[in-house]
Amino acid sequence: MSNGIRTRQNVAGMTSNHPTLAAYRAAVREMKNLPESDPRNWVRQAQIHQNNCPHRNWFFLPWHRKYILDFERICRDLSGDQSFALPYWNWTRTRKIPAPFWEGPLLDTTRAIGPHAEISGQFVGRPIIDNILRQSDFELFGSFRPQGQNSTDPSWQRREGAEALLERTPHDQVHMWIGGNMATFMSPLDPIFWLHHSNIDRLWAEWNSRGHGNTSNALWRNFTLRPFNTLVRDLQSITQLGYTYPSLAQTRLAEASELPPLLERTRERFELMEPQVASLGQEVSFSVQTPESPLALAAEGAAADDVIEDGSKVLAFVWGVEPPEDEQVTVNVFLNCPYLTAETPVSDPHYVGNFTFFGVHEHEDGAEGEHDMKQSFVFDLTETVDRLRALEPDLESQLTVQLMPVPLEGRDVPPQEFGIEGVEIVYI
Amino acid sequence: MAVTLFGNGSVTLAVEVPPALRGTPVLFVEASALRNPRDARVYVEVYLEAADGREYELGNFTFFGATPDEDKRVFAFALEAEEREALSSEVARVRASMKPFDANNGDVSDVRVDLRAWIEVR
Repeated sequence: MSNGIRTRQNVAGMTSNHPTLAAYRAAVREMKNLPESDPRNWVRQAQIHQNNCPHRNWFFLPWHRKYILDFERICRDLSGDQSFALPYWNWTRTRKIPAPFWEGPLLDTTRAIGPHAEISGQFVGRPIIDNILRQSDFELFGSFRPQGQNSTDPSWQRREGAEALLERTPHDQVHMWIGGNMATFMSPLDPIFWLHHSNIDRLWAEWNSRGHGNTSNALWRNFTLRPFNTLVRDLQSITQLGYTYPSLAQTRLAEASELPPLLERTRERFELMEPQVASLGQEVSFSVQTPESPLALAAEGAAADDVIEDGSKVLAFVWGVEPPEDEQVTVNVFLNCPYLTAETPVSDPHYVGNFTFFGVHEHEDGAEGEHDMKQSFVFDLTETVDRLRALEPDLESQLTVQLMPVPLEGRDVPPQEFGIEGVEIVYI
Repeated sequence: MAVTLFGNGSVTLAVEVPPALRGTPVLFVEASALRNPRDARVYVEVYLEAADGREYELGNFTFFGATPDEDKRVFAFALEAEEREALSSEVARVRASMKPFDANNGDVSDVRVDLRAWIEVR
């Protein structure tokens, strides 16, 4: 756990006695043994899905994010492992149901397939996933709004929209391929369900981390999901919710394949290219004067639709970061935080995101010189600006992007220094 | 007008192409009146047939969570640039084919569903 953030790990390679699976197994066993009067009971949990789950509309992703988040907390409580984070099953790479799910409490005997069955690439293959992650329109990614939705009345939660590629193909097909309980809305009775949905949730997080924004439509953002009584807009940032996935390094510009078309819509750019040296535990800040306040930008949208204007974004580019000698460092990024220290948690409203240097030194023996080791990162500040607008309405038209390098959790890292060339703010 | 697709079979739907294709054309396929007496595990593959005879696989869908009293469900297929090029005429031909998941239980001819399709531009 780093800075209060739990990392959901890939189940691939975990043996039955891996601490994460041991905790999961203990929690599932406990839930199955609880009386039906206890809301944490295994069947009661599945009934939440059967009675409330939105499918085939744009509430599919946020509803299941909240559902598995609550389940994960129950697992922590019942297993006694407070570091427990629900693993995910990446069926694109691991086409069989993982072996630990064929024995003991993690087995569901209703499955229509056996332990050696592999799901076809036409449902979960890399080209399918790449196609999903290329979509730039939220509804073409995460399914369409219910037909005719004109309010945030709760009755819209389960009305028909249309299934887009993520739900229609890998999500649905994995359910149906496994069969048995998994083919029905009581699918959470199969313990693999939760890892399947953790992977769906990971793909949503990855799509966001590649620079794609969720819809800003108030009918989605301001909808209250039942039975959780949670607003959709409060479920958009996984770090704000206290977890992350290990492979989300896509803020690196080289991997942000959708950025060029996005940047064609640039309205304003403000840059501060003054190289600075960063040290562990020390804030490095870049203050960019913006003649047009980003809050005014947000307010403009608010007047029309009570949310940021459709398609408007505020991006921050962190240019030319020279990786530290010891790569066991994470750099947390904050915006306009007046009290920033190395201990400021990522749950702070000023938190934007982070970047790491995983694997950068693996290529040092290659032809690339030190200059080529520099990396650049992009962050979508839109949500943070929107959040800060609510907290600090008198915020000046100055954006201060703050970088706080800290050692990765539990790592003993000697003092490090590394260079950063500058920051640029882009309005889209 | 809806066309009935039987398990192990195929149907071709004639779909009107909107005159202006600015933006992203999206093919919607509505599946209704699913009848699946044995709860067979089936899926449907969807293809676009171009005027020159070439076929583009648009993707697939299935019936997760289907219940006997289900009304209808709609699936969306965003058309890529290449598929968009194939929409040259006023009417596109969309072929749907229903297949079983389980090769050992391959006869799903007792399953049927009504299909309707249309194209909208986003």
